[in-house]
Amino acid sequence: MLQFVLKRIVVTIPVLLGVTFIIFTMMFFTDGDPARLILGDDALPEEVELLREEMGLNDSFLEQFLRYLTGTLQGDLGISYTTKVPVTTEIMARLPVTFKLAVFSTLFAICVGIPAGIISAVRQYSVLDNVTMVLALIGITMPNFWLALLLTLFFSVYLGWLPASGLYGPLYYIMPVISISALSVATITRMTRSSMLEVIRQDYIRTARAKGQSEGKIIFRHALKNALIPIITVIGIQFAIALGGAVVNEQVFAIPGLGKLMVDGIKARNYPIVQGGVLVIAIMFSILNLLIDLLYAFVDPRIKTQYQRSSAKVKSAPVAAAGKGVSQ
Amino acid sequence: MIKRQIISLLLAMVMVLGLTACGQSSGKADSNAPAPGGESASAAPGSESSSAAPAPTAATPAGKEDLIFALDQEPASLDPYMHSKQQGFTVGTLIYETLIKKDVGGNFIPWLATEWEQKDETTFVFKLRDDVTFHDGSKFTAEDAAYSLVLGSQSSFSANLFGSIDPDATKALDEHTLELKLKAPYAPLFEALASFRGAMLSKNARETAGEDAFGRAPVGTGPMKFKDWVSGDRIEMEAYEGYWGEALPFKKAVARIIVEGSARAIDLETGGIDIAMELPFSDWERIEYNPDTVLIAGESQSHSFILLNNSMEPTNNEKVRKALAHALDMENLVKTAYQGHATVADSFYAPSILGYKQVGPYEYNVEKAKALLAEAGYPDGVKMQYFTMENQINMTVAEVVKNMWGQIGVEVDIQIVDLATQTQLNNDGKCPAASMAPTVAMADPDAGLMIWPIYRTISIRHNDQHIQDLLDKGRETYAEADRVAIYGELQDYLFEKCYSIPLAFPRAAFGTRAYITGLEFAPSLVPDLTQVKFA
Repeated sequence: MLQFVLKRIVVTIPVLLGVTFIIFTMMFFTDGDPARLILGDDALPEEVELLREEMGLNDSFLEQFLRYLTGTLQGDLGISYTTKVPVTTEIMARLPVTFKLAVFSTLFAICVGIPAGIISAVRQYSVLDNVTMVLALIGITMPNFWLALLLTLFFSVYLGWLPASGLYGPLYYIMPVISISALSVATITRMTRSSMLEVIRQDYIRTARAKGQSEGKIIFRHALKNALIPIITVIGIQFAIALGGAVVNEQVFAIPGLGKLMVDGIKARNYPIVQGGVLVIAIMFSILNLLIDLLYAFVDPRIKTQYQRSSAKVKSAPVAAAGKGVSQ
Repeated sequence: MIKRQIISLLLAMVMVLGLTACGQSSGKADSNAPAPGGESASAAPGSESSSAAPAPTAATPAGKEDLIFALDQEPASLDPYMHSKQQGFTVGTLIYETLIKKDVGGNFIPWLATEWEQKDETTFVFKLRDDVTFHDGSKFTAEDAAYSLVLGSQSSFSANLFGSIDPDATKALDEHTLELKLKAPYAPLFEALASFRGAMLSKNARETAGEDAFGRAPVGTGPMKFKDWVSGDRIEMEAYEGYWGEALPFKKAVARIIVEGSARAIDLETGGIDIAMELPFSDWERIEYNPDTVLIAGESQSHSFILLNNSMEPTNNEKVRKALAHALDMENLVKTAYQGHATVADSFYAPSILGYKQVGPYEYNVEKAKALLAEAGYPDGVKMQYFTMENQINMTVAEVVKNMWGQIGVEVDIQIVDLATQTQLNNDGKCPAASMAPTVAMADPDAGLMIWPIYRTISIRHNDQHIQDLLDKGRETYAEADRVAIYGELQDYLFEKCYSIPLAFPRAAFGTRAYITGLEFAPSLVPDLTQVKFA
């Protein structure tokens, strides 16, 4: 098992290098001159040239990339072009906010989505099931931006219960969390329902019922546990998306998160911020993926044995196993 | 079974309707508010607060000691000489002070300087107050004043205002006497000194901290001192105990960064903030008729124009440019793009600035435009690119312009670009046509006409020495009547040459809670927050 984890971590290194190279290249070849943007239309060409020189923007692509790479390897992500603050400081100021929001909204999505999905599956075609499915459909199709504004209009302007923006206390989290998790709740509900429906029809469930097992035990111990693998996958993906920063929600609720930082960075051609942000997100994605793979093993002992067997020849065993877990 | 499904569907629909109805009813509550007088936000240029709105009812919350205002963008720096963004200057009105100020009547009044004297065309001597200290406790001296102004003359962010100051000869004569030397006569000097851009900062603090760090933790002489800056979220200030003047009615000030316009408006309505800067047009009416909030609207000193590239085919031909100008139905174009919150620009800078002269707009005449285009050698029309950024006003202008120019046979290809791309193309001279609205830094014709100097790199590229001569003359002439004549001539000349087409004098607004008084609309869009009083 440990071997498996170590190997996965080693595999992450070329991924991160690749991400660094791609994002650097993309920013390098995008139109727009950061020096001109900083100084504005009023500045003379000489002044812009001077600043370009100072920022090292006149060096060749290779020189700039190598300089960036050596810095990054030493843990120095550079200095923000616009604020002149180290990129690590900027990102670390935003990361906790984004992380907290991602955790809360994912927890909320799990707490609402899984029970709703189970009820829907157990009471298939009932009124409850239909209502849940319609709501889930709305959750998936409703534009995030619109939902966020609707929530503020209702809870802040009309009822006056919740503060409209900012993140200065527990109450402030309610609307952003609901708004960010709307899509996840809907996706998790639908996934739970379909996965449960599949499992419920299996022979071993019928056997459990036949031997007189209580309904609760059948649902939670036999059915849910076996239906959990695809649900975990969906939760992982949703959590990862939330970690990348919910730009739209950050904008509406004026939350200083990672997404906003990066979008501003792209607009201002603030290369160090964008590169640093993407790198941090890539690292988080990698860690998350690993955690999810490990979680599979806890849920499904069959996968655990596969990890142990395959740790000699690392391949994408977990994925294959996950697929099997669903179909069996 | 089917019956069940129908019932559940109906139930779901009821829930959805309930949700939207709640959203609507809150909107309705606002629009149903009494609306005497009707349209107060559309007439009269200059500043006025919304008098048609119902009388403010809210009293200041008991024990209120803080002022929370929302900016639409995070400043990159608070060093007044290291940026040119109005958001940074708005915060700066609390932290910094200037040598002189301008009163409501347009007269320059003493502030940190008690008196001044003009020795000759290029020499000014200022006597400074001796009871002023910086937030770090050190004394404000002529040394700091000289340092600040020399900085202003050398920084590429502020050289357009202070570039005429001679950095070598400007110096402190004694602790409280400043001798300001100019390289050449500079008529806008006092306007520049009185604007928030001529802020006095501590030489010692800035040199110790370094210019980058100073911009994140500034030291000035103003009534509020910098406390904390939470990146992306807020800037906090607290009252400076050693302030020489009258203390402000609040002990704490917080500048929150709320980028989304409607979110700023909602936060103002719910009382989360006291002042919201830069409200989008769509929220004006709600803020105006809400009894708890006040809309403060007026005409900006910046204007918008349609840039034409005079170094590029076909717009290097005067007839083509005039054809394009005559093909535009300005009245409708401006009304559509600015939703009624702007007037057609009939000259090359805003009416609130000295020497404004109405010269336009170009007559809307499609036949004349077609004839001009044919005369210019394009009887079958011509193709052109038009650059626009992705914001609502610019996009609408681009669409309407494409349509109107299409009527005379000019086929417009709209290119949507972001600010970074547009800025680069524009300054490389590669922008064929675009709508633009640069910020006018101070209420002086020299700043109002800042896009016209011949050395400017933006894509107008008229290369016309006569314009530069008149600009230089206007800049060097102290007598006001002579200046007005010079700028009048220049506006006529620009209209005749049609190097670019003036578009609109837009209005802008910010909103306050009803208990905030004393705050006036600022055409610079940088309101002086030290005026704020609580009712």
